[in-house]
Amino acid sequence: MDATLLQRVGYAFVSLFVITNYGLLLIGSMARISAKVQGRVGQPVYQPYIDIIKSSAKRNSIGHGVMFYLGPVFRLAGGVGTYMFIPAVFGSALFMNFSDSGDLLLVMYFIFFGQLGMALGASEGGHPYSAIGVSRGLAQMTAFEVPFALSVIAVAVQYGTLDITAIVAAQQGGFMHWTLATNPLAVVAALIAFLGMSMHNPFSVVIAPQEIPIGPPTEYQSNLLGMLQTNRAIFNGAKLVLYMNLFFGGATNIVVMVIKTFLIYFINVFVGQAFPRLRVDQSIRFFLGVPTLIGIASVLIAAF
Amino acid sequence: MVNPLYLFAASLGVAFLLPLVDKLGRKLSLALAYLTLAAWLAAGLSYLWALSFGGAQATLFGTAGFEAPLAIMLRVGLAEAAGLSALSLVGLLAAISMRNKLRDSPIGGLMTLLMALMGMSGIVLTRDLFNLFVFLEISSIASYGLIAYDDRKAALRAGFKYMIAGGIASALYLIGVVYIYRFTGQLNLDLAASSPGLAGAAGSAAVFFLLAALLVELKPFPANGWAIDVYHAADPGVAGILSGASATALMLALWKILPLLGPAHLSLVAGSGLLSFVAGNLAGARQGNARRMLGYSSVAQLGLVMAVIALNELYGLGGEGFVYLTAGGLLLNHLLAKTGLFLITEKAPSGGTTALGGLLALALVGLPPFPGFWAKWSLVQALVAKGQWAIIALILAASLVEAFYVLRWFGSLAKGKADESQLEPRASLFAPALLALALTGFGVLSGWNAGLREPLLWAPFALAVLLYILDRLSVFVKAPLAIAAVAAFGYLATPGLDGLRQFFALMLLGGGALFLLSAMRKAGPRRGLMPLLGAATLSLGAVLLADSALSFFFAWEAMTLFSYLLVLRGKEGEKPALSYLSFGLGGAFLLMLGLLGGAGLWPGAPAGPAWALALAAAGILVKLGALGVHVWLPGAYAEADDEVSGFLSASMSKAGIFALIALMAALSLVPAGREALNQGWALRGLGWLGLATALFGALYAIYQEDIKKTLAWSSMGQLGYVVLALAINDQAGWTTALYLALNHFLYKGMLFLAIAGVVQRVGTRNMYEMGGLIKKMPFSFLSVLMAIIALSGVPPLSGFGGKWLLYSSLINKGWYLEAAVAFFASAVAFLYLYRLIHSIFLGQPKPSQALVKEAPLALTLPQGFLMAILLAVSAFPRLMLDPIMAIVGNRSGTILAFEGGRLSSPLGYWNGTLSMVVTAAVFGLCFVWMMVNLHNTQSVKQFNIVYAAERPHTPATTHYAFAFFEPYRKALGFLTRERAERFWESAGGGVSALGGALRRLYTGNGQTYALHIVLYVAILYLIMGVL
Amino acid sequence: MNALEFLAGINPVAASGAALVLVGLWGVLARPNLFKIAIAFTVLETGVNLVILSVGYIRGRTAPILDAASDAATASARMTDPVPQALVLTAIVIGLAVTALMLSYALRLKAAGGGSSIEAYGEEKW
Repeated sequence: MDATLLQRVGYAFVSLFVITNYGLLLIGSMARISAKVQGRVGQPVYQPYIDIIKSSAKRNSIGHGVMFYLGPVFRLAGGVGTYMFIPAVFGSALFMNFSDSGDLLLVMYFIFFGQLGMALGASEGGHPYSAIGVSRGLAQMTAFEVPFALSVIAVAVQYGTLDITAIVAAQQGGFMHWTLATNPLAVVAALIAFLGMSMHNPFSVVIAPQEIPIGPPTEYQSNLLGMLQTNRAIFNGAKLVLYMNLFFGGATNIVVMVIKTFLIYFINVFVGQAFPRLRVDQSIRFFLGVPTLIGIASVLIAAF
Repeated sequence: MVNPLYLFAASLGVAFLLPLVDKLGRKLSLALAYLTLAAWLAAGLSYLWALSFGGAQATLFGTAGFEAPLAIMLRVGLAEAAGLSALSLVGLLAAISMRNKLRDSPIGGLMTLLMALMGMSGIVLTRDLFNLFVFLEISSIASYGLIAYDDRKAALRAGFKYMIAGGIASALYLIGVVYIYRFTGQLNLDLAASSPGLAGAAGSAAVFFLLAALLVELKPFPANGWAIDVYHAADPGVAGILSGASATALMLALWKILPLLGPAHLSLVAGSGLLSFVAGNLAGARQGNARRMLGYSSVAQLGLVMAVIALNELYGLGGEGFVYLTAGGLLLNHLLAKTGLFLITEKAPSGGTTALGGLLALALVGLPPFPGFWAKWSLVQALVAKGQWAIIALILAASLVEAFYVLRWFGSLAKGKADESQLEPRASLFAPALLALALTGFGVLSGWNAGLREPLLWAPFALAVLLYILDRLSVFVKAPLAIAAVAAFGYLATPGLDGLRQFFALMLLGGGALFLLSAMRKAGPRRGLMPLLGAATLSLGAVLLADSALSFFFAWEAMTLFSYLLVLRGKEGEKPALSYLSFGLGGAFLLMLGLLGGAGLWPGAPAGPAWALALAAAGILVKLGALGVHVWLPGAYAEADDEVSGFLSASMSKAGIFALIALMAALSLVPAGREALNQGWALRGLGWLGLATALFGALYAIYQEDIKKTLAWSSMGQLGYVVLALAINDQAGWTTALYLALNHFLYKGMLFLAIAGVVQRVGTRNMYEMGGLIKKMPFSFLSVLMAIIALSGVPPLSGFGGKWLLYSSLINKGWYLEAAVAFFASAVAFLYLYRLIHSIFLGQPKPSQALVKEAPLALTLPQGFLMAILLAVSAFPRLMLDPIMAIVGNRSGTILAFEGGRLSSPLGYWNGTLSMVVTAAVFGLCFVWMMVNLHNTQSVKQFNIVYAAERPHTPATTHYAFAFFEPYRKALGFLTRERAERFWESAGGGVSALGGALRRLYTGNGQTYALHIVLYVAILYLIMGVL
Repeated sequence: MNALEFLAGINPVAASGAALVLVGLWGVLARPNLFKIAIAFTVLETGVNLVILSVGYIRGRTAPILDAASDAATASARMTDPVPQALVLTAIVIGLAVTALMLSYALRLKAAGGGSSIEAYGEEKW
């Protein structure tokens, strides 16, 4: 805690480097697992690295304007920033990042930073598919935020704080202290919301590859696409760390973090392989139905 | 004082000499007649002067050298002098505006005019009951003649019905007067009143006949069909005389015979008057014809005045002085305004008719600063003091209906729609102008008299007048002038205010100045905009200055008035302005009741009872557009001029917030209020109301194609958050509310200004007709971008501070579900914000908009200013939060506190500066990363996109912007089915249907009207038997 | 009080006046012809005038004329009340004026091409 500003910046870069590589490997391995489930050989685990390097090396043949270029910058800054505001490993100065900027609310709202910028950049591309994808994504987002917000409120009520470090601290001392054990309904609501947040099946209509080729990023290529791919890794990592902190007792070292986040992410893949895709209006009604009720129940449990 | 007998002699002499004089030329006849009328006016004014300032006493003039009971007595007191002056003024002005027609028609017209007015003057002056009959008949017979003077068939038809009614009334009067004579042996009013003979049932019946005759002449519902037909058909000048002068005389006759009346009689008068007021206004609601509408309004107003006179006697509302103030004020207001309006109806719409018609119509409905406003205030004040709630409700509801239809007419006049053929295209506006001037003068005088002497409170009106005089000048002259006036107002007013008020002064006056500046975006005079916008800004300041219930309400109504006119000024503003005003007035009435009940909204005010505060809160919530009573809001915001919309949303809405805060402050001072607060259900309810407003505002906003509608709904939603935060009612909640309010001012100001520029350049408000404007209007884009980041609450701009404060306060308070719904609502806000910026600035540009330029400097400059403030308070939240927390103080314990740049709550913390730095650093690094890896880019032309091997060619089919969130509507559209709109529509429809049914009574058949009169009298008699 | 006494107590002038008032009123309400309405009003007014007279008339007294033959001191005890008679004179004059005006209105309406029934003049309504 007594680190100088320079040290902290240095720590932040290390922390960022770790999460980036972890995120990339996570994506690669999940893709491989999906392939195995579908009976394919699949890509190598290091394929995301190849993609990024290749993308970044290509020349930018098409530019649509200032905001078009700034979109990926916003996106990546959103991912990195979100991670920067979350303490990744409990009690570690190296991985505390800049979590003293604000509490859980800051993180929840900073998630929107990248999404908004990306949406704007994609819009300037002028491709209708981008706008369609964004409109679907935003519509779905408003819905899954409800159970998520409810479960976050339940956590805040339960621990009497919105400070992530304090929430993790309260869960120390074994599995029975995890939110998963103390308020399972909140975890259920949050995990269902997580499915929507990750835009995997059955909530993948936003990037619907067959219908509106990959949605918002349709017009992006070369190094801009590379930035989006990098962000995907970091942003995924950040969200997983957040979930781990809120519901699964946090992590006291990097190994525990890797294991826990891997398992959390695996839930996505598991569900994604098992369910078909929903339409937007269906998914909105879904999130505002049972998951919201579960969320309300979790808040009531925490409050009384 | 001059003996009035000379005047009677003069009138009679001139009238009968006229046929002779006329041989010398009509001009001479006219001059002689005008001179006679002027003499009456001069005499009336001299009496008034002598009685009020000259120290004279009320004087009785005997006739033929005798005194009562041997002779007829004429009395000149204050009421008589005022009545005489008023009716002579009306008569003279009406005669002047009729001069062209009087010149062309037979001399009988002029003669009957003189006789009619003389008869009315006689009614006012005489103290003899039989002489009163004679004068009644003289004025009636002369009026019959006058109605027919231009020999139009319609006038003759109506005149015949009038005669039937008059005949029945005079028979009733004769029977009454002779039996009064029988029981008292007197015809002199004062002697009869003091005689014991009237005490019994028989005496009471005799008085009843007299009273019934006067009542019938006063046109009570339903025995007034004949009168309405006369107003409808007669020459507007004649209608003005009948509605203004004749009504004044008859009302004074009623006032005169009060000493004869017992409680049963008075109840009849009060009941009949109230019924006329309500029924007249209801029937008027359906009326399309201007003069007939004014007729309904006339009978309604007379009903109210006579009800006030009787109610004063019944409940002891405040004695003679009170009657002078209220009944007199209402009558004065009615006769000046109604005469002027009747005269206006014959003119084709023009700038002059609009301005004068507006003044007169606004006076008629009782808005400040006209006499009706003060009269209504003191009336309701007295009724509240006596706890007469049912009567108050009736009066206010009917007043609302009246305001609705009178201003509906004015709205169509202002839009240049004439509803009937002009009778007299040569008519001048001299008389209406003088009447409007008189109204204004009396209004200011009454206000002064009522104790409103702070010049700054009157400043809005003064500025409006000043700028209206200069209205021909270019906006480049007027706008700096108006801004200087606002600055001067601020300089004079703000130093004396407390912190809370200074904080709001920043948004109200500062915002007003910004929007005045932005009005220079178009060259030319922009007639009407500057006076109204400048005055509206100052009236917001006046709300802050108010230090009494009356001054608060005065400023509040002034604000309603000017903003109504501003909305009406919009191109399609007619309907929205009307619904804006209807709700504005409805809310104002609730607020008035609250204020009169004792709700203190100014510093050091005594704390009122809880019910009063609740009423005031309800009124304020209407003004804020809370869900359920929000239906006026989208239309008003959308259809006003573009800079006016911004003003309404960014600045004026804060006046409502201010009032609510002042109210909450007052509430916590009262024991009962504190109890209510501690119980919490009231605040919880308020909180849910605010929350529902926030959610539904956002939900409606996402489906709008019209950009200004989107912003309007969004404003409604954002104000909902402020209400929610206020309902939390602790240090954190208050801090949140003030923070949100200031933030809303900043970003909504930017948004509306930017959109004003876009609409000005593009010429449409439909978002799907725009696209790709980022390259043409980059500054506006930047402004909108910053504003929507701030609005949505995305860090690092100051909007996040608002969200953080809101959720922290809510969770800290224990309002968990509220926090969740608020989260949902603010997520929904993303939808419309993205849609807004995408559809306008991004995507495919339209070829027709290829030559669009950046917005004018008058718009970008204020935006730049707001952007700079926004950035500063985002980077250094303490700039904003320190003053706010100082204002809020330590309300029931400190919840939020700063240590350095870190704001902490019991739940968490937020360091605005650090998060700004981190974000900026990360963003900078990513930007550098992108630039480093950028090689060999090439800009492409429009449509060069990956499009399944095809290339689209029309932006209309490529720009995804129309019905943007259709899936959302499919999923959640059932929430937004405009239930409140339908409710109010059917409520309005119900009132209108009721009015439609009522007016079916008026079949147009003179005999039916006669039957109404007979039945009216019979029923009144039966009711008197019961009482 | 039996019926005879009741009848005897009725002032015959007042009663006939009241009857005329009712007749006149019936005419005003039930006869659609403009001219008949005007005439009904004269009937009504005559009735009212009779009622007024009945108030001043006192049985067994002389006409209220003060001249050499009457003693001014006792006059008020021996004469009828002159005031209602004076009132009636005024009322008659006014009634005449109203009747004349009504008839002239009716004439003008007819001359302008209308019917003589009041039902034809209901254009201003609602």
